[in-house]
Amino acid sequence: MSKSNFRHSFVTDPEDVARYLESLIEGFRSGTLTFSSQHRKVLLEPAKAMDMSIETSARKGKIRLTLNFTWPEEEASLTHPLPLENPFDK
Amino acid sequence: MLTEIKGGFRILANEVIQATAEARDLLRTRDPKKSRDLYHRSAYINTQVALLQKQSMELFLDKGAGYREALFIQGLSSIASRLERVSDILLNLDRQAGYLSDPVFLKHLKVDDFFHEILDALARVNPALEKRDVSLAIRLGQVEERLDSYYAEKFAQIISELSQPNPKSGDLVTALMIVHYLERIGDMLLEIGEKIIYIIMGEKIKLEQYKALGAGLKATGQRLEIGRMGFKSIWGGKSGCRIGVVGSGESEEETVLFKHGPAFKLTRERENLELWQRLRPGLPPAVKAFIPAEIGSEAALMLEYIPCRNLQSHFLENDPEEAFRGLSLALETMASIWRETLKKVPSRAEFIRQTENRLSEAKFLYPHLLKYHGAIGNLEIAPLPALLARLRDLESQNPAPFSTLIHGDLNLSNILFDPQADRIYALDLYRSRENDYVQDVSVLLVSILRLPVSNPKTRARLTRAAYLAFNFAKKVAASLGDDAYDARLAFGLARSFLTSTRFVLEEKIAAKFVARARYLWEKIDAFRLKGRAMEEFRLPWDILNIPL
Repeated sequence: MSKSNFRHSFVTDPEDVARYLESLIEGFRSGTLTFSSQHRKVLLEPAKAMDMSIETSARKGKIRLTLNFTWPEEEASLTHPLPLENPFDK
Repeated sequence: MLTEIKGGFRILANEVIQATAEARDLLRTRDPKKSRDLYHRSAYINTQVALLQKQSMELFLDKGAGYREALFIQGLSSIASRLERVSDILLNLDRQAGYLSDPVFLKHLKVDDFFHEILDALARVNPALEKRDVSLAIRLGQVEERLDSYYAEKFAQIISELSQPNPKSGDLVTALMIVHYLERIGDMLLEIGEKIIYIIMGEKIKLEQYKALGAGLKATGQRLEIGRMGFKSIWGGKSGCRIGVVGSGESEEETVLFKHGPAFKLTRERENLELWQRLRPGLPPAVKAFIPAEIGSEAALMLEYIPCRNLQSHFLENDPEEAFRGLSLALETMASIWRETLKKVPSRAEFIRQTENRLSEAKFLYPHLLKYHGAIGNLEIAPLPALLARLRDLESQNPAPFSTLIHGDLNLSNILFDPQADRIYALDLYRSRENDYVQDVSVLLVSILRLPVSNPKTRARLTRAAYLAFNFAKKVAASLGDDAYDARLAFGLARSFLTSTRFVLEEKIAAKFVARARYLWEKIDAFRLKGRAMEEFRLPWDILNIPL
């Protein structure tokens, strides 16, 4: 998986938001999310399990809805394997 | 300390006069002793300048200096640097003269003409400063023009001699270098003259501008005299013109607005001001005088000074009722002018072309924002130039159904409002022409929305102002039967958002402007792809309501 980041801020509307979300849903379903800019292409392969948070906030006259997905990088999970022993067994 | 600095400067100026006379004599006859004298004098001049600059810095740091004193010291220090440069050039002249095979070769070229003028100008430096005499400073600076013409004359003579049979090529080339150095001393003297004017007037004014100001004041036919006038610059304009308020400070009637800049711009502005004056007397400032370009391409315009604040300042400075009244008046006035001057001839604002013309300037500041393209999944983010190219034909096929007289740069700072008299004034009519009134609507809306305001109350006020203008213009369009108004407004808004990035220093804000422009173009493009008529395109207010 590429370590490069991707960022694109834009103005949109509910109809367009639905299109972008559908594109993301398609990516989650197929196991690969793709984002590209003129400089690089970023491929994300979501893990089988991940953290997801949905947050809404209102501040300084702006409403914000944040969707956040987090999963470990492949290398990280290999170099720092989870302990095999169950601590509750002790 | 100030007395020491002044005394040191006086000596410095006299030393440069002596050095000039020595250099003149050296070019007449080579004399190794005089050459050494010049070298030593030049070294002394360099030390004097360094000392003067050190003392000036100490005065600033240790004793502090008032505004006038600081201005004087800063100006004096700049003049000292130029004098040092003159002395350096004199040394170069001596070195060049060493290459001459014939020590009296320069005689026939009459290089003494240059020295006569240079010495005359240098002799004016101390008196102009001591008497605070602008006319002496002007005469000093004008030497540059004469040195330029001498240079042109000597240049032609040298070229002609080079083409004669058996020319003394080496000496002629050396002579060319020498007259070139002498001409550069003229540039220094011009700058010295301008610095003296700066010290006296308290403003940076080019010699050309000062002369135009004098001619303009004379042409107003009033009691205005340059000698007792104060000049206060208005900074922050983007027109490339120098703008200042000139007045005696005694009465507003004696105050005028002075504009100096490209002749083609000011000539056009004057014509437009007169046209608008006929159409709505008192709406634009009256033209008091126009001074056409004397030499080169700069002209000057003297206008009635209107002591009122502009709408931008009304909106930002917490008097909402007045601000809204001013905006309503401006909108009503503009709508009445659009109606009155309406001609049933299609017109094209060419917003895409306007954008493309300014794209390279915007790209310089934020290259990655404007070059950006890519994809999210299978959804394309098109490169902006490609998007614009796709829309060019569509825009051209959908002109405004009529033309009207437009302001051409109807932003909040170009509308003055006098709450007491309940009247507005229109400024900066250089771009006024017969065209699509949507140009005025879109410039006005973006000028409201782009203001960098973080205070929620002020932000809400500006959003309300934009909403008022948006709805007002929509009604005007409907009453004029302008069916494709929304689509053209989208083109116009996108253009103004994108080109406004040139004046934004914060990248985050610039990115938001680009995002708004992109969204509007993408919406029109999506409409085009569906094959729908532009008359059906609707521009919802919500797009303009997103907080920056």
